Amino acid sequence: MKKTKTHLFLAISGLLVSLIGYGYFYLNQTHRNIQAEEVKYTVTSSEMAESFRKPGAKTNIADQVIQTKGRITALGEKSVTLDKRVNVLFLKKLPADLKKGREVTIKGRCVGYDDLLDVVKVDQALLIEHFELNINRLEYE
Amino acid sequence: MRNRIQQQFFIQFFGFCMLTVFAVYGQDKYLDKKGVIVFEASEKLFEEVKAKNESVTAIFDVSKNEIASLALIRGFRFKNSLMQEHFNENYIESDLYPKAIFRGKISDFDLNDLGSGSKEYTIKGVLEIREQKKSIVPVVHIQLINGVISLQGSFKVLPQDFDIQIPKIVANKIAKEVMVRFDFKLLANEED
Repeated sequence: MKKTKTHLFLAISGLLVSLIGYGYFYLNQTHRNIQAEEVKYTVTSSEMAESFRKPGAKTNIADQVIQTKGRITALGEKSVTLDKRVNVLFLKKLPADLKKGREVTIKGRCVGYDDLLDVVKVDQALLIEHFELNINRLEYE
Repeated sequence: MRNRIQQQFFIQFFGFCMLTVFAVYGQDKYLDKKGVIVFEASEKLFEEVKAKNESVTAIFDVSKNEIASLALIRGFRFKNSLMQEHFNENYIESDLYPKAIFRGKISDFDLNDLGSGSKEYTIKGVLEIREQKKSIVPVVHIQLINGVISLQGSFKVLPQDFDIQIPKIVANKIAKEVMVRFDFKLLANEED
């Protein structure tokens, strides 16, 4: 009789501890780590803008991890604008040798479409690679 | 000879006029791509309900005294990630309503009146979230520092204004009024 009571007590307290533990971790989850997540869509800057601009289009890239490539048209300490269409905010400071006109590939989270500026916003981004601008392309512009 | 000088003078004068026109035209609109908005609806003794968005767009047209600002809901970051998830999925439903937009007009504002100290103005405008429009009249402090217009202010709104239902179970942990503060640093012809 005594044994079953002890067992019952142990079982209930064990359950309680695990519930509290689960609750604690549930309530204090860490934020998404965009860098650790896999890229869900690889898109061009114009594809990104189009996906938001078309009326009624499903904007399925919002809040997704995306990878995109483009030419830098504006440059800040922790931000770039690609092809005048995509505004990217980085987690870290950008390398000092990065210049306007360079082509870069970035990975980040698509935040959404800003219709005041007509740009798509990306945050928590990481610079994947950057190249010198192709000379031939300059000549034709 | 004289003709040539006149011609040159004319070209220079014309060029100067054009430059002035462009310079003045370009400075009508001041822009901030990295404006900050913080809102808070914390109750004492409970976990803070507070989020910050550091990539808010703000455009200030000084010729018409009109201001427009747009914040993407998904750009608001909470300390607690679960709170952020609930805010996006249950309260604002950011997949359906991804942005908050404000359009307003500052009364009696003249850029030339701005000195080094900050001046107080009111903006009459409309805030739209979840397709619900609410008139607000925030008080702002405007200051001009090295060509940058600093615009700071605050206002209060209610969740009901935007048809947001707060479930009873958390009602006492979230303040009835939501305090919103904004801080814009607007630049003419901003590149980034």
